[in-house]
Amino acid sequence: MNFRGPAPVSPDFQPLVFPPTLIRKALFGFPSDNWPRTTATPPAHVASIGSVTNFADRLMMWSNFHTATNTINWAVLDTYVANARAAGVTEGKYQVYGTPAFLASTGAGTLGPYGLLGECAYPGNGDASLAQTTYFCTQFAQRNISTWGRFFTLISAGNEMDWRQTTGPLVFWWGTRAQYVDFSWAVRAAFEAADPAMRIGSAGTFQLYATDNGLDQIMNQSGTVFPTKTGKDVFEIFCGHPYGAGPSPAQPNQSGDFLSNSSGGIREARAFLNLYGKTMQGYIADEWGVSNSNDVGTVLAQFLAQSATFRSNFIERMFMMAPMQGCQGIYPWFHSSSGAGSLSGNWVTDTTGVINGYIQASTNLVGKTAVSGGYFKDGRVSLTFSDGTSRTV
Amino acid sequence: MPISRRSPFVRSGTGFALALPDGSSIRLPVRSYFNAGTIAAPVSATTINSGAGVIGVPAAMNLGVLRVGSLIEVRYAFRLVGVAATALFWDIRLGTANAVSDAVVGSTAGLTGWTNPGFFEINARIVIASTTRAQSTFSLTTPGGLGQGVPTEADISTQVSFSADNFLTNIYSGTPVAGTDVISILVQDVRCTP
Repeated sequence: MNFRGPAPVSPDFQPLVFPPTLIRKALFGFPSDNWPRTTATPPAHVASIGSVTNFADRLMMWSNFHTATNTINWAVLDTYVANARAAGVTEGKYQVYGTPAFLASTGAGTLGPYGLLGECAYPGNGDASLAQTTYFCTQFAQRNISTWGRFFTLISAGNEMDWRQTTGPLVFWWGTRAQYVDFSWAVRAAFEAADPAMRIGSAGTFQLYATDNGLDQIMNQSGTVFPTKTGKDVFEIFCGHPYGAGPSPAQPNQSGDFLSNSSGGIREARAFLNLYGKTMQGYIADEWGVSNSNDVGTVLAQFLAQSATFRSNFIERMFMMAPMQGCQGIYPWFHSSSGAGSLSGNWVTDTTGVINGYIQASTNLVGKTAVSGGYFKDGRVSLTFSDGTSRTV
Repeated sequence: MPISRRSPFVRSGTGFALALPDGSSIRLPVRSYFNAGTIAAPVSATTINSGAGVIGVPAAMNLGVLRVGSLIEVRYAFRLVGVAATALFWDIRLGTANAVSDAVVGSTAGLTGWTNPGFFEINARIVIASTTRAQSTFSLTTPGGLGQGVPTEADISTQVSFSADNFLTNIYSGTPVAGTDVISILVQDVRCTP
């Protein structure tokens, strides 16, 4: 018997084993900015975007719409969906984030990272059963079906959770571990009750094991409102933030590649979930950057100093590797209307670099079924499709 | 032929049309000559010293007692010397306390990638539509055209008084460097029709 798997076709090429995978346009994620809430300043590669996430746009956050008990104004979201669809975006990810101040258990008068009052608080003020969280999610799910044509296909609750129980603009969760389990279970239960087809993602995770920010801190944590639920129950899709990941093991970056990245790469996340008896149902990189925000001056600066061809290939290879690794969405963080300041490159001016790579990948991959592929020692990535064509970049 | 008292200049599209006696017209390009004179000093300049990531620019205007139907027109221009590329937000807030908990009646999206020093101009019109709601239009412009946006309807039910003074407040939020970042208010033009 041979347990070694397929033999490499050449010493310089590492084939990867994966099931035939249809590459959907939703693989090509991107965060919203002013667009698509308005039609102002759409990304240069807008036609190539398959999925948009609301998280970068503070005016798309929960508290903007849910301003009082049982009071929700959907007008801005209606426009957002209409503009996105008009641009060819097929689906969206919505992050239930930005606690309405009237529901904030702590910090109702404190501005959070996006300048919203009570932004990262546990939404239990005067609402011990989280009925208003349930109300918002139920109404959202129903409108998604009735008005938005099921535009939103993926939901997550919160972002880069912080367990220090402090408030302020640098902390993304102000409550306890148990409160997060309660909040995120309320979100999942409401969405699944209203729309069983909705996929539920984890909070965007950039650390698996860490006292202050690790996902490990809630996996066995029970809720208080929902004492039979733990952190293992609140999500099915793993949403990771593998900042610093490069396309492949042959072209790693600051912190490895999409498989090995210690911030939550695919292999690491799968192993993490297995440790808690949970099987990975899907992987989305709902944020990704060349560097994390602490190393902009070194890692990102080096990337920007490379040739445009290097940057283009880097981005295209990243998307080409995704279907071979089980990644279903990559959202480069983020647009930045002026181009500067993004952790993933300049998405306004770098038309022959990152923008070209994104467009080339979307143009050449969407709608095809990848059947075989791998990467070369020099960093090139190759995919062969069910129609007999192939692409090597 | 009687002399028409109607101005021959008719505002139209991208320029001005000059009406001729025969009923036709010619189009003139728009030109304006305006001597701004000596530019005044900033209205105020504040060194950010809270370091808390949130700044209420001390430019609150006392609007007095409001009523349903009150119209507030706002124009501000700011110069910000801060940490470039740090996300920031401008809010226009309305309430009785001159505090960050005042009702948000205008907000920008996240502004990133701005060049230091940054120049920002905010224009807003706010109508008190009911005792619980304000409707607004709001825009923010910068040389880079960084952002715009707003809630078009804000909940003011617990923040605005119809029997006591109200304040219009600006909020800058980001991650300022305490004792280093400086906000200068270059223009503050607030008109309220109570």
